[in-house]
Order: sequence, then structure tokens, then C-alpha cells
Amino acid sequence: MSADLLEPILWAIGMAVLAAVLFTGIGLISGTDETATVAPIALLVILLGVPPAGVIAFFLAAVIAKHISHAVPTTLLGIPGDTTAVPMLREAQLLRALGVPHLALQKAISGGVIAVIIAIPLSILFALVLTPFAESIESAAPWIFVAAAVLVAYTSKGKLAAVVALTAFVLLISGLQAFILDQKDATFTTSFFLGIATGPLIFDLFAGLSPAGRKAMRQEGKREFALAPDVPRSGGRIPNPFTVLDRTQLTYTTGSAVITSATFVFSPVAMAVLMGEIAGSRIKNGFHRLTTVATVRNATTESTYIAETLIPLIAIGLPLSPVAAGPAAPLFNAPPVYTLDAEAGTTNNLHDLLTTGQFALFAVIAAVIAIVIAYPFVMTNAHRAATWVMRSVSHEAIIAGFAALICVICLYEGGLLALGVTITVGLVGGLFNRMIGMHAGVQFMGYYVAVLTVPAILAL
Amino acid sequence: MPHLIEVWNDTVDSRHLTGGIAISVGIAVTAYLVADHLFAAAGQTELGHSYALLFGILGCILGAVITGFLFKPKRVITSPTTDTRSRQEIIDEIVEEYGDLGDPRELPEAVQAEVRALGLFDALLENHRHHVADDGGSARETDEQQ
Repeated sequence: MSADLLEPILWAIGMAVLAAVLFTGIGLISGTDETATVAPIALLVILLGVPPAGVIAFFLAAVIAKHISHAVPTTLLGIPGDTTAVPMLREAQLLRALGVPHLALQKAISGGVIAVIIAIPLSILFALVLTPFAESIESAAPWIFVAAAVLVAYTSKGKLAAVVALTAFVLLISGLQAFILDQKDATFTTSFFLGIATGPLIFDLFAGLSPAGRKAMRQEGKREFALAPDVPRSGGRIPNPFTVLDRTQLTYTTGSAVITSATFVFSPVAMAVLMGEIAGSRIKNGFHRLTTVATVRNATTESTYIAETLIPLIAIGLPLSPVAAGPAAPLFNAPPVYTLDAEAGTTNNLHDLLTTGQFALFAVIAAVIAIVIAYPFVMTNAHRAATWVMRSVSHEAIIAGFAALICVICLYEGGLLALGVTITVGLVGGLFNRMIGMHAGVQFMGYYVAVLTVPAILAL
Repeated sequence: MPHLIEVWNDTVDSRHLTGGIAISVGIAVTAYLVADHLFAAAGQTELGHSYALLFGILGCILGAVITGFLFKPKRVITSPTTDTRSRQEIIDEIVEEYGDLGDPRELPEAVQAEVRALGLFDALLENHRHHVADDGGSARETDEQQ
């Protein structure tokens, strides 16, 4: 190993440890959406001048650790740990009712670990295959994205309504972007993502302000949560994901990780739903289906995040995937450190600063550290951690923290105008989410349709 | 309690929420603006802007911690041992929503061992037998519906 590489490796190790510890904790708190937590903190890491090795390791370790610990509130309490945990909620709740939530948890996170092991080499391999075609992908992107957006919208809860509402949402984004360009001679990104990610929260806060809304939101008493009892794990002291899963589950987890390492234009939530359906439809025994679907869905949250980050970073340099457009956006564009000129197609971001070999090295470092920290911790302390969060952390504190985060990040990106953009996007997006079942995944696709496809259509 | 409302999938007291947001936003925005101003005054605009963001985020965390100390969670944590329903009733409910949970004897060896270790084997088997016995009746019912 050359001495030149020693310093980046130390950065990668240090930042991965920091991210793994921080996001294992954040994942335990329900509702902490990936985009609203990972993106701003990754942005901060970049702006503080952490070198590229530390940035990529930080980001990957953060999402891997968070997707391991988000299974704790999802399986033990029946409330989703974050947006990608929503698809496995039903199976988790049923297994909880059967009195075996610890089994659901252990299966889910073991699936996640295996998906990480598969997705890292495969997505790098896939990126290498795609690199020669980067230019044609770039020119086809506007059309791929609009097709994927429509498909994802149609497979969401909203079905046709979500597809039609996509038009309104895309035009809203286009209009806001044009107004921002007119006023500030700049474009915003984070404000839009933050608005989409926290849309349901912003919508609820507004509804709470209106007398009619408050009436509908009124609760008779404190909400009851049934915390499943702790069951000691059998077997060795150090958990092994390969023994927690049976052969069928290993096969489907591997298969879905392989598929989702290639389908990088679809939103992770949509892929988690789809992969779970495919695996579930092929398993005859109902009980076995429950545990396998929970495993595959959580595995998909890991593999999609890794592939959708690494493939655009290595092959293209433009954020051409829903993850790259959302939580990973700062890795592509964080002015003044990383820059991206969408019109000219010129970039100066991680794509230009790291070689494929370096991406592979730092990704492996991040994955190993995140798994070593998060997996044994969650396997052994899940119950204690979930109890502490539920008993001690008030929902008021979480919402207050998010409200402050929205204000600070918007003021940072573009002053009061950016704050207005986040509130507008959040209010409309939250309304669409709550009322017509158009989830954040569809809306992120909508953002990229507005940025990529709308100009391409107008240029026809 | 008259002020309890549901926001973002959990229960809060609307007065506590308003207070918490005021505290956190107040601390965080003040921290960010003051830091940004001081860094700019010191001549560090580019990097100073990002350091100001760090102060702002620290302000968010401080605000959330203060809010957490002031206002306690509005949750009641129960343990499911208070659930008096029998296991078969619960399984029946799950079957109604999800479909038949199946015959545990058909599972591969390793999975069977897992189900036994969980103490679910007999309950699943009993439920399956019950369903097989019912099958004749329910098949006729669906025929009539068509």
C-alpha cells in the first residue's frame, strides 16, 4: 500500500465510524426520513472540508447503519423507522401479533447485511459496464426518468391519481425553479429535497394551525404502544446473518440485491414493494412468506441505496437515480466544494475526484465498519434501545428539531426564498402524500422530471 | 387532556409542540445567523458560511434536547401480556388479513426447526387442520358467489 493512500484510508475509517454510531442512533427514532437526516449532515461534512474518501465512507456507512437500526421501531413497535421501512411494516406487524417480533427484526437486518455484501461489488461492476455508455445514458435520461416516474407513481397507493397529480407537482417545481433563477440567478436543490422529505410533517403542522384541521387531528388520550417482550436470542454470542436466514431467504435476498443493483432509476420504496411481492408470490407457506418478505424488503432498502449511489457516482457523475437525487445529492452538488452544471454537463464532484478502485476500497471500509457497529448492537440491544426511545424521547422534541433543521438549512441555501420553497413544496407534497397516496419516492422522481424531462420536452 | 393532537404519526400536546418549535427554531436560527455574521466580519465568507451551518445544526440538536427535557412523551407503553386473546384467535385474524399461514409440516427442515423453537409449530398446525376441515364449506361458498 502506498503512503499516499494511508491518509485517505484513515479519513474513510474515521468518518465511517462517526457515521455508523450517529446513524445507528438516528435509525432508532421513528420517522427520521433518510433524505431529511443523511443529506444535510453529508452536506455539512463536505462543506467542512472532509476529503472525498471521508465523504463517501461517511455517506455509505450512514445509510447502511440507518437501514439496520430502522428495523427496530418497525418490528418492535409497528411504526416505520423511516421512509424505506414503510413497505415492510405489514409483515412486521403481523409477526409482532404472532408474538415473534424479534424474529422479524433478526431476519430483516440479516437480510440487510447480506444485501450490502452483494450490492457493493455488483454495483461497482455494473457501473464499469455502464461507464462507456455514460453519454447515451445521459441523453436518454430525460425519457427514462419520465417513464420510471409514471411507473413508480402508478405502483404507489395513489395509482392513476398519483400519475395525474405528477403533472401538477412537476409544474410546481418547474415554476419555482424559474422564479428562483429569475430572482437569484441561481438554482436550489436541498430546499426542494427537504420539502419533499418532510412534506407530511409540514402538512400536519399547517393542518394543526387551522381550526378545522386541528379538530380532525384531535386525540382522545395518550396513544398506546404495545412493546413486544424481549426474547433472548439462541445460538452463539456473535450473530451470523448466514445462519439467521434459511436457504430460501438467502436465495431471494441475493436475487433481489442483484436485480436492484442494476435497476437504479427506480425509487427504493417502489423496489422494496416490488421485490417483496415477487418473493412473496413464490412462497407457498404463509408463515414462511411473512418472514421472507420482511427479509427481502429490508434487504432491498440496503441494496438500492448502495447501487443508486455508487452507479451514478462512478459511471456518470450526474445524480441520475432517486437516491442520488435525494439523500446522496450533496455528493454530486455541494457548492462551492462540489459543483455540477446540468446544462453544460460539466462536473467537479466525487465522480472526478475518486477512481473506481478508490470507490471500491472506501465502500468496503464503510460497509465493514457500519455492519460491525450496527449489526451486533441491534441484534443484542434492540429491545433496550427501543424502550428507551419510546419512554424518554418526546415526539415534540423530534418535530422541534426537524423544524429548526428545515429553517437553518434553507437559510443556508438561499435565505427566506429557500424557506418559502421548502414550505411550498412540503405543503403541496404532504397534501398529495396524505390525500392521494403519492409518496415521497414518486415526488423525488417528479423533481427530476421537472429538471431533466421538462426542458427536453420544451426543446423538441 | 384537551390539547392532544396527532402530528406525523404520533401524539403531541399542541401547546408543547408550539413551545418546542419556538425554542428550537429560535436557538438554531439565532446560532446560525450570529455565527454567519461573525465569520463574515472576520473575512471568512466561503468556509465561514459552512461553519455557520454547523453552529445552526448544533443549535437544532440543543433545541431538541431542551424541548425533550421540558416536555415528556405522550405515549403509554404497554406490554402485550395484557392481551388476553388466545393464540388461535390472533392467528385467525392474521389468516383473514394475509391468507392461510399454511401447514408447518411442509416447510424445509431448517425452517421447521425455527418454527418449533419459537413455539409456534403446534399453534400453526392446529390452525391449518382447522382450515382444511373448513375447506369444503368455504369452497362451495365461493362457487355460489360466482
